[in-house]
Amino acid sequence: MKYRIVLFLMLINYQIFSQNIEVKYYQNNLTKSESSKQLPVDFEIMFLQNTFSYTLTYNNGISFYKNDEFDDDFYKKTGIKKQYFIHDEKVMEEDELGNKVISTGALIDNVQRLKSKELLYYKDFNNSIIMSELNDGVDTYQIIDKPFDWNWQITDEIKEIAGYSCRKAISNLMNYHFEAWYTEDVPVNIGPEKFDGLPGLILCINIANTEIIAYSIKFEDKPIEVNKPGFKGKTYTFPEVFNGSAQKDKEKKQVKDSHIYKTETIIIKE
Amino acid sequence: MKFISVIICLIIPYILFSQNITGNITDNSQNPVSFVGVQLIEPNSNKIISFTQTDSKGDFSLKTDNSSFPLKLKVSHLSYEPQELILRSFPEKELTISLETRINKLDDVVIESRAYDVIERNDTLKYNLKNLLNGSELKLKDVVNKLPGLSIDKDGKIRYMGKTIDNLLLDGDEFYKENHQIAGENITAEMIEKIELLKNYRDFSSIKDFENSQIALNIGLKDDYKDKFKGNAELEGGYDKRYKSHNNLYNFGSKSKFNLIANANNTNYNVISLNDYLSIRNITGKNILQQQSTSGLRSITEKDLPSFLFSTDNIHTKDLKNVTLNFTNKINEKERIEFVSVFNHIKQTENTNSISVFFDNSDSDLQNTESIKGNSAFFSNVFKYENKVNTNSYFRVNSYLFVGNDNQKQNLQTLFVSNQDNIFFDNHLKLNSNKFGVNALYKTKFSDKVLFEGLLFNDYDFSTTTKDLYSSSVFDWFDYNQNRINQETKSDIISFGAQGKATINTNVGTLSLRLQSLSDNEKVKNNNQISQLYNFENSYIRTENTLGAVFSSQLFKQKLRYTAGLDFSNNNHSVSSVFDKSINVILPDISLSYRISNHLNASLGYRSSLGGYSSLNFLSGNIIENYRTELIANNLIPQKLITDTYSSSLSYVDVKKNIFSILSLSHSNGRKNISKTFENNSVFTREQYNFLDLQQSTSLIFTFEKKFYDIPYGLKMSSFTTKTKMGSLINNETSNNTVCQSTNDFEIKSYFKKSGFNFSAGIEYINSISENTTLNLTHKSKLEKISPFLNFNGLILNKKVNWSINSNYHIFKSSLVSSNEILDVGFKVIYNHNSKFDFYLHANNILNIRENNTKNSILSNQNFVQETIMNTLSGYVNLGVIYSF
Repeated sequence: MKYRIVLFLMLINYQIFSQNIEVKYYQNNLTKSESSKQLPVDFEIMFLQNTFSYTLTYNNGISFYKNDEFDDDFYKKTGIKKQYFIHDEKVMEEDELGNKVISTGALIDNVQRLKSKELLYYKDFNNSIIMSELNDGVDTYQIIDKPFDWNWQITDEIKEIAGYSCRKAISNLMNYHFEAWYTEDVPVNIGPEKFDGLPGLILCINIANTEIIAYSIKFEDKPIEVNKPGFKGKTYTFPEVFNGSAQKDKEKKQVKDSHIYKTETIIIKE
Repeated sequence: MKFISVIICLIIPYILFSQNITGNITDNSQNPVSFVGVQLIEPNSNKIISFTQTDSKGDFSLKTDNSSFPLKLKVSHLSYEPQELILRSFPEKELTISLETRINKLDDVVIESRAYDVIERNDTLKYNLKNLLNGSELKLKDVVNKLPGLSIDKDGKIRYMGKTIDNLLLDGDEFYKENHQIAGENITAEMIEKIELLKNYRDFSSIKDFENSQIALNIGLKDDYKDKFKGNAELEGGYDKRYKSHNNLYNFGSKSKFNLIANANNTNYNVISLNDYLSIRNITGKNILQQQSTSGLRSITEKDLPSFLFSTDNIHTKDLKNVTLNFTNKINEKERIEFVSVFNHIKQTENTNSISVFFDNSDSDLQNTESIKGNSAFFSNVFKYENKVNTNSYFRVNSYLFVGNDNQKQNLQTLFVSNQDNIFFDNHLKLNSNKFGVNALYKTKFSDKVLFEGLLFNDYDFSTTTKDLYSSSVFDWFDYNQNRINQETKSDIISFGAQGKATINTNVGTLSLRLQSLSDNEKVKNNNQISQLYNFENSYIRTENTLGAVFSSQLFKQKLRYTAGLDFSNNNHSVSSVFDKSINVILPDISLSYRISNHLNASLGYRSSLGGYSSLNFLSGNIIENYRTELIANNLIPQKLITDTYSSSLSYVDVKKNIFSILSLSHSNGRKNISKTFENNSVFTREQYNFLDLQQSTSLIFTFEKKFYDIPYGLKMSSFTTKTKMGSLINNETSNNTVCQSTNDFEIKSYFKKSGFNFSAGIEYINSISENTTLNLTHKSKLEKISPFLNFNGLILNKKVNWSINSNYHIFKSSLVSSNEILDVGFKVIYNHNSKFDFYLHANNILNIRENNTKNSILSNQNFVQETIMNTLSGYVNLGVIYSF
C-alpha cells in the first residue's frame, strides 16, 4: 500500500526536445470596480499590480501554468508582511501586577490569504485532459476535466502587447464575457489559466475585474520539465467547482474555523 | 416532380458548402505533425473564417462557412516554417502539405515587457511606463525625467544620452517637433499611453531607399484625449503680487492637430525656452543649407537675440505674456500643412553690481551699479506645406516671418576705482528686427539607385539698432564734447541660394554629390552726430559656390560605419572699391564609428570648416557699442579662416541593465581667426577686428546613468567641461585668455512603487575660471557655485493630493565679490477635487520672499573680466485653481 502511495505521489517527468516556450504573466485584480473600494484596507494586497506572477511552459502538446512561489523572497521583494496585527481594535488595561497590557485586534495572515492566488493548470492536448488545482481561500479543489470549448469569435481589433501584434477574440462561455488577445507570431494554441484554443499564443486576458498579461516570453532550446500533478483524494469537474456544489461538498466534511483572525495580548513592562 | 427538383436544388448547395476542407500535414520525412495551426482566411479583408489544428495523425478539417473562393490557407507551427496556400476553388481531394523545419528559430531573443524598464526592438526603445512611473507625475517633463537614457535640460530640451531629440512626435505625427518645452509643460501625464524612442526615425519627407534618419521621441496618447477639444485653464495668485494664468486648448485628431496656449505671469515661468526660440529659426534657408553640409561650412550666429530670453532668475521683476499656436493638418494622404506661431512679450527689470578688471596693466578697474528696465517682444511665424507627390517624389515649401522688438532703459553708475570718480549714465537702447523668407525643396527618385534633390531659398533680414546715450559728464573719450549721443545702425542682409544634390546607392555604399551656390548681400548704415567718422554706409557681398562629395559605407559585417567627405569651395568677398577677394578651399571630413560589442560603440572624427565674415568685420567707420566702447574701422582683406575639429567618443548602452553612458572629447583649433583686439584705458575701450592665430577650444562630456532593478533607485551623473584659449592684443601687447567652465551634476532618485513618497537628491557644482596673461601681468578670477538639492514628492490621501517639496542650497565662492548663501525652499500641494477642478498651493523660495536676494555670475573676454552680483527674483506663495475640460 505504501509503495502504491509513493507511486501515486510521484511526479511524472516529460522531457521533449524541441523549441519550448516559457511565458510569464501577471494576474492583476483591477481596482476600478466600486465593490473593491468597499473592501477593508487589509485586502489591498489582493489588488497589488504586477505582483502576482505566473509561469506558463509548453512543449509538444503539454502546457503547464502555475503561480510563482510565494516564498520568503516574494515577501521580501514585494514588501508584503506575512502576518501582522490590525491595531485599531487595541485596548489598554492594567493587569493584577500593575503591568500595562495592550490587547490587539485581529491578526492578519497574508500567507493564508494569498492561498487563493495559488493555482495550477496542466493541459495535455494529446489526450484532451485538463488537470487543475484551485483554491478559494479556504479549500483546495483538485479538478480533472476535458478542455473547454471556447467557441472564440475573432475580431478585427489589433493592439500591441509585449512588442507583439495581438488580435482580440471574445467568448461568452458560461454567459461570461471573456476577452483574449493572441499573437499569430507565436503559432501555438495555448494560453494562461483555462484559456486556449486560439490560432496563436494568448498574451492577455481581460475578464470583468481581472487582467492576465504577459510580461516575458522566452523561447528555449533546452527541454523544459513539465510536471504532471499527482492528485490524491476527491477530484471534481470545472462545473462542480464553478457552480458551488464542490464547496457544499467540502463543508459537509469539514468544520471550518475562522483561522484568519486571531487575537494576541502584548504586555508592556515599565 | 417539380417539388422534388426544387428540394434537390436547395440541398445540393448546402451539401457542397457544408463540406469541410480536409488535409494532412507532414514534415519533409513524411511524419505527421500534430498541433499545426491551420487558418482559413478571406484574402482581401484578411478576416479569419475558421481555424483549427492538426491531430496526432496530422489531419485537420476546416469549415468553409459558405465563403466564396479564392481563400487563403495559412499553416503555422512553432518548429516549422509557416506556409500560405491560395485555394482558387474548393479542393477536390484532401490537401497534403509538407512542412520545412524552421530555419529562423522564433527569435531566440527574450522579449520581456514588464520585467524590463526599457525594451529594445530594432531601432526602437519602448519604455515600460507601468514599471517606471508611479502616478505622481504631473506632466510630460516629469515622466521623461524618470525614463532611463532620457533627460530634460535646463532649457526644456529633451535629450537622449546628452543629444537633443530631433523630432518630438505626437501619436506618430510630427507635431511639437523641436518645441520640447511646450510639450513638456502642456502634455499631462494622464494623457500619455506610451513613450518610445525611435533612433532611426524617417520623417514625412523620406523616400524609400533614401531614408533620412533622425532621433525621434513618440508620445502616444490615450483614446480619451484624441479627436476632441479639450484643455485646461490655470490661475494662481498670492503674496507678493505674483500671479500666473496659463490656458491650454487642444484637439489632437488623426487628421489635424491643434494646440493653443495663452499665458501671462510674473513668476518667471517661460512658455518658450531660448533653445526652442532658436530651433524655430532653423527654418531659414541658410540654416537648412548648413544642416545639409557635413563639413559645417560656417557657423551662423544670431546677432539680434532678445537678451531677456537669456535671463533665468537673475532679475528683479519679470512680466511675461505669451500666445503660442501649433497646428498641423493632413489634407489627404499625400499633403500636409504645418503652422507654428509664437507671440512673446517680456517686461523686465534688472539690478546688478559688478566689478570689472581690465587686463591692460593699468588702474582701470570699474565698479558699476546698474539698473535696467525693458520690454522685449517677438513674433515668430512658420508655415510649411508638404506634398508627397507620389512614392518617388516629395515637395515642400517653408515660409517664415520673424519680428522682434527690444527696448531697454539702462541706468548706470560707474565708479573708477583708482580715483573714486563717478559718472552716471542714462542709456536707451532699441533693437528692431524683421526677418522673412521662403524656401522650397523638391526630391525625386529616378530609380532605386539615384535620388535628386533641389533646394531654392531666399532670406531677408532687416534690423535697426538705436542707441541713445546720456552721460553726467561729456563723452570726451569719444572726442565729443556733448553729453548726449544718438546713433542709429541699420543692417540689411539679403541672401539667395540654390542647391542640387544627387544621392547614388551603390553596392559598396552611398555617394552623394552636392553643388550649392549662395549669395549674401549685406549693408550696414550708421548715423551718429559725433563726427563724419561715425557716419558711413558699407556694402559687403559674398558669393559662394561649393562642390561637395560624401561617401558613406559599412565594413566588417556592418561593425564599422564610415563617412568621408570633401568640399571644394570658392568664396568671393567684395566690399565696393576696397577689395574683391577670391578664396578657394578644400575642406575634408571623415567620421568612423565602430561597434566593439553589442553595448560598446566608439567613434572618431575629423572635419575642417571655413569661418565666415559679416559686414561688421569690414567697417569703414566707427560704431559706438556702449557707453565706453566703440568698434572702429579697419582695412582688413579676407583670408582663409579654417578651423580643424577632432572628436572622439565612447558610448556604452545596455538597455536591459538600464545603463546609458557616454564619454566624448573634442578639440578644435582655428588656424586663423577673426577676432577683436583692444585699446583700453580707464574711460574707454576701442575694439577692432583683426586676424589672430590663437583660438582653441577643448570640451569633455561625460554622462552616466543607471537605474537598478534590485533596489528602487536610479543614479545619474554628468560632467561638461570646456576650455577655451583665445589670443588678442590689448594696447598692442599680446594677451592670452583661458576660460575653463565645468558643470558637474550628481543625482540619485527613488523609484518606489508606492506613489506616496519619492525623492531625488544630489549636487550641482559649477566652476568657472578665467585666466588672462599679458607680458607682465597674470590675472585669475574664479567663481564656484555649489548647489546641493533635495526634492520630495508623492501622491497621498487616496491619490487625491499630489505634494512636492524642493530645496536647493546655493553657495557662491568668488575671487572678488561673493553673494550670500541662499537656501531656496519651495513646495506645491495639489488637491484633485474632481475630474474638472484641482486646487493648489504653490510656494517658491519661501525663505527669501522679502529680502533682496542676490546671485553671482562671471563674464569674461580677452579684454576684461566682470564679476557680478545680481538681483534674483524673490520668493512667493500663491493659491491656484486648474479647471480641465
